[in-house]
Amino acid sequence: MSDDLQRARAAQRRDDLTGYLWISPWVFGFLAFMVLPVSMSLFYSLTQYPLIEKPVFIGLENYRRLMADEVFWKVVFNTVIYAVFAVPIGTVLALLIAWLLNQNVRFLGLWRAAVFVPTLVPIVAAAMIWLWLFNAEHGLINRVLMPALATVNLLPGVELSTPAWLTDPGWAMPALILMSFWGVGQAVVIYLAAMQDVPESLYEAAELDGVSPWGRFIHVTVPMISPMILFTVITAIIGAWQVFAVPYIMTGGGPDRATYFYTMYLYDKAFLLGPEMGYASAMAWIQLLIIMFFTALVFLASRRLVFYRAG
Amino acid sequence: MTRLERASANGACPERALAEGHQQDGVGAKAITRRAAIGLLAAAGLGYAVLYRPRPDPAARGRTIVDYWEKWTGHEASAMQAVVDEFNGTVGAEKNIFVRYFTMSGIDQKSMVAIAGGDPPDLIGLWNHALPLFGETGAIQPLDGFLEEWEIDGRAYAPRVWDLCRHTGRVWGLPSTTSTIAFYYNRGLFREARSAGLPVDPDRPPRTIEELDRVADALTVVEGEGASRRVVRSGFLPTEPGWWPFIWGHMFGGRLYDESTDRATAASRENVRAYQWVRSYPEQWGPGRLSTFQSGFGNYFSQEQPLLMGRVASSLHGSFLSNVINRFRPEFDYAAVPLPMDGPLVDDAQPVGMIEADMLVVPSGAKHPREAFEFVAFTQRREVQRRLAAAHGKSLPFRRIAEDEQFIAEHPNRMIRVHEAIANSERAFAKPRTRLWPEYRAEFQAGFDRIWRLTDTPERVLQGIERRMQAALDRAAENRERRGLPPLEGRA
Repeated sequence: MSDDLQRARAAQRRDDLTGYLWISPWVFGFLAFMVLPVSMSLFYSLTQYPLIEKPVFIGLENYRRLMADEVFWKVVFNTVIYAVFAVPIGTVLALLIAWLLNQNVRFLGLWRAAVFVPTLVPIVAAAMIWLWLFNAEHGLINRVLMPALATVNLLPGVELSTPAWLTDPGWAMPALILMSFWGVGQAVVIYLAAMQDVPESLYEAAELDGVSPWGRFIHVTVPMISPMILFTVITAIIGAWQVFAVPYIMTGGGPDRATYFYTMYLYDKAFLLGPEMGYASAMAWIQLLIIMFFTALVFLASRRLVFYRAG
Repeated sequence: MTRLERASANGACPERALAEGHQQDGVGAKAITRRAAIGLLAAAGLGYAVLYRPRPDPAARGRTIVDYWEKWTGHEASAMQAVVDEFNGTVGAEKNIFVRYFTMSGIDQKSMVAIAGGDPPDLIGLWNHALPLFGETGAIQPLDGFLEEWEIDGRAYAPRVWDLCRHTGRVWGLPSTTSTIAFYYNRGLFREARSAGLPVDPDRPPRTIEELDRVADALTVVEGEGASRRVVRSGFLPTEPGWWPFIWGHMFGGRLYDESTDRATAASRENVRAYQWVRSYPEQWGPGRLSTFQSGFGNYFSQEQPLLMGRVASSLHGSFLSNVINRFRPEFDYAAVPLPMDGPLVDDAQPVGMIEADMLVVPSGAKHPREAFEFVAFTQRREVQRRLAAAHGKSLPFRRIAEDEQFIAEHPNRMIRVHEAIANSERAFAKPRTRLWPEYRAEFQAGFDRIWRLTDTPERVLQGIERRMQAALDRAAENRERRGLPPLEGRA
């Protein structure tokens, strides 16, 4: 082997080493803060572990208890309801807004900024704003509804009153779903970018065939950006299963656990109720399986519904 | 032409050419310099992380530092800071101890994690209801040995306060502050109602549930008709301030937990009667209307406090309400009495109210437990307790003595005498002394919501709570057995 080649290989090795060194903090972080805790949580899920006492192995008891836990099923139900409404409505809303923002209208930049800016507001600040908007007595939403309901109540036999949004178990969940659309701007930006990538020729061809603007949106835009829709739907499903901060601040899970979500119960079990870190770990693993199940379901459905452009 | 192409054209080895090229155009030299710079920065960062020690307070130099975690903010935190400063300047200076005081939120969770992680502070300020969990799990140290050494006698404390410090036959904490809950009312509104010929007297507040209901009826104001009918003032509202949904059974002689048998007793006859009474309020005024009415209330510690605003004429409060009154509406004319009781249970000599305390505890694994207890002992001096209690608007933890008269006379809460009487009463009650209290409370909150919304009957709700809590208590007993720990007294 020539000296030149040896030197070049040594240089290559140095380059490789430099590369590994550069990624080593991430690799170390991944191992220490992801792989290790995740593996430990699997072990803890098989133990009775009140955090300040040593874990004691109890096999699958935590999983068995979960199946018989009324509160567990309540939070699963709440989270499913939230996901079933917040994800599809949020997706459709984001698509429609993106479509509108993709039109050639005046002050386009202003509209786009207006849609995106709410996503920049810190979550606690947003929750406080919505707490006041939903206030049953002084809130803006009910102040707007009041005259409308007063008109409706003029009809004989009709007696409607404004909702106690966050204190009535029947209205608290719809209120939180409504609030989830506050962060729709992020998906809008993704859809907007994807829409601008759709070849103009497809629209021209559709137009020549006499397709209406709405038809062009449904038959050209949506299929062409369907990979992006798939991406946002999956991330939204994961987000819905992990919803925590907003209900924690706005309702604390009440009234009557009407807005008590999966991750809130998990957190409470880990640090407040018991505490039962083993039980919470079992919940975390079940949550992972649920999210994987829904993601797989969406992927399966996507085979028929998502179109990838060749080339 | 690229460097590789040039090398190929000259017949040189391409890899060598690349290596040399790096050297010639100075990229290699730059890379070394950059690496060296990054290496230096990394070494500096590592050195800083390993070697950095926060600069101690100059006053702490040469002294044993006691780290003290506390949960208070605002004026309550400042009051304890003054005690810490006084200790550091007197006993601490004499005995070479310096207390370093940190206030934080979520102190029970943070303490738990710190203790589990083997790096706890030396002293923690918890709530009395946290003692069973921390004590049973060995997260905190029993103080009995220290009490003996420092000659702190439990008989100096009001009996119910001393009960709060104990669990499983040991003392786990000593009170930093003590408060009781009483019935507060707006004397101005009572006066107005009397002038209007209603059966209300500001000098004769309700002592029984029946009298309370009469006052509530007389002072509640509803406006409008049909869908626009709304509550504009409540005479009495069991959901205000809403911190104690579990309290009402005690007004009917009920209790939630029997420590002597480790049994949940949520569904006792007395408790069912109590929550049937609670339910009568939303039945009368409408749960939706009350809910809408209450959603307009401001924060507790603000000028929009509903009792101060006249939106509710009476409600249950701790003596610390005086801090809100004195700050936001000092002219507010109020009074307080012990909790109104079911008729036959009224006994003026033994008033009823809930008692709570903030507890100073020494965690297991504390580096300086003796020095930490030196500070705890300092806080138990009667004059220190008087200052703390006055600043927090709370009661003294001790049995009353004649010298306390001045404390009572100068206390910012003019009704402190009522709170002192409750604190010294045999019928003062506390939250159940079980490590499962946070779960019990969560169950009660959800159950209370169902009763208040009229979506379920008190019997069914309370039976459900009792069943779930008994299962949790049984499970906790099993876990003790699994860990080889002796059963709790009630189980033995």
